[in-house]
Amino acid sequence: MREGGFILSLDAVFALLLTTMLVAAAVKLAPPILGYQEHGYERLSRFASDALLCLERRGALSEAIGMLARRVPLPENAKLILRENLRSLLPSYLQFRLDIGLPPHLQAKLKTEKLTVYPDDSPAWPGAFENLEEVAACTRVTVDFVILENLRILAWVDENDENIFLDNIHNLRPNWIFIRTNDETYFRSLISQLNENTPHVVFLPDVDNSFALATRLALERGNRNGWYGVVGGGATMLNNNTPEFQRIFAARLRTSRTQTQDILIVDNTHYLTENFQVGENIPYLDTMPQYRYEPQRRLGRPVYVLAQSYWTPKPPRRRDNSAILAKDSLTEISPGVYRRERATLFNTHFVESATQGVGENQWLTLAIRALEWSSRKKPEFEPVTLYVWRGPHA
Amino acid sequence: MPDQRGFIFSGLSLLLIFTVVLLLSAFLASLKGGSEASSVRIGGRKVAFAGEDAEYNVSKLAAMGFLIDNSLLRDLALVYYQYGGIPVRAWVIENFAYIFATKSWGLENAQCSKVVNIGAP
Repeated sequence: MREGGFILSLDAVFALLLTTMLVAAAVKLAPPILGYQEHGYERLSRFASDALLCLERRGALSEAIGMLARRVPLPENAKLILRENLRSLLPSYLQFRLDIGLPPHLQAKLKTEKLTVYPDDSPAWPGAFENLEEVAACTRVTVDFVILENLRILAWVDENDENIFLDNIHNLRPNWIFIRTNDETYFRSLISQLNENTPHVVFLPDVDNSFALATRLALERGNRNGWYGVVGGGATMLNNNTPEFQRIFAARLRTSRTQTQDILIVDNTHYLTENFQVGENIPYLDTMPQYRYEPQRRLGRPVYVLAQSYWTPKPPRRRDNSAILAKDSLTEISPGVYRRERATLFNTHFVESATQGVGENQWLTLAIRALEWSSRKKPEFEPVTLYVWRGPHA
Repeated sequence: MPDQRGFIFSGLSLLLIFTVVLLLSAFLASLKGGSEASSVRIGGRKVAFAGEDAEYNVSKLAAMGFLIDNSLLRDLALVYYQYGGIPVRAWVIENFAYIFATKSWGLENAQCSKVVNIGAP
């Protein structure tokens, strides 16, 4: 019988043992450290993304950014909201840092590029953060800075109550810039070309004169090019019932009448009226006239009727009239890139009504929403980054 | 004559030793693979988070009445790349915004696709 085998010297056996021990040591020591780093980091990363998501879905982020943007109350309150929410979302053994990028106009006002929130106001946090060995980060983008800060509004003002109405809007939106004029040459110079002085919205609450053809054409061209939106009301169309204004507002004036009723909201799915209920009554000064407009949908411009007014209370003679018309037209200037053409028309002298205390708050809200919706302002995107790490309190 | 002591291994014993060494290497390889899978999982989660966040923001902007077009989506996508390191592409076709967030790690790739109804553009 053949009995084959191997003969190993003692030195060879020691070498084999040594090799086995080294392999065993590698198995015993290296993998646990690697595993903790990976899985520990994964948990941290999950904490960061979940906390950031909850912060958004709770509305805390929007609330804090709204405070920052309006600077009412102080920005410190925004920090407090974010800090308290993050503290309640993260376990106590985790520390955090939240960075919110600020748009340029807020950077100048708040004198910082970003808002940074640590678990408290201790000055030791920045130093501790710099020396961290393991930190997980998660970034999302906020669109909440789109509160139309620094909206530039060109208003045609030819009566004192219009000044009072604009002052009231300014009190509610202190960062908006109002350019008030009743000088047609100056007015035309501002609306005729697109530059840093071009308004975001042209506000014609109650124009008592007829504009020259050149002004009407310039206004129509600017609106069609998406340079600015137009918000009109009062007797603006009565005095300018021309093809240019009919195209701007996608409506034609039929007639006017006094002794009318209040207006009723009929569609609250639109940005203008989303703060109202369908059927909600907007009180109107009944000594002032209302106008009956015929929407010009046949021109290919979508026109939304958001409110109605009624000429008489009796059903047989009762007639629906469009009280708030919103035109939202788009032109595709290149594939996938559009030019927006927006205009809002009120069939009421809402300025007089508001300044005489009839439906003041409602008219102010509607006017502000109309100016915001009609503007060409774009949203600003800013990053929000949450860093999370394990460690003691700084 | 020097002392020449040692062990005698049968062929079967040597095969057993080889088996142990092979099992150890396989074990170490699996640990390495596991840690790589964890990295991909973390990265994949970041990609999914960026895609879902972009979807949420586009829906929010559409609800606020903003014009969602390719230039706006390009600006939005750029922020995800600049600050989160996740390449996001998005564009509008008719009433829908198509959003793709992708990232590769070597041979691994994570992708998140979203379609948002933005109404009439």
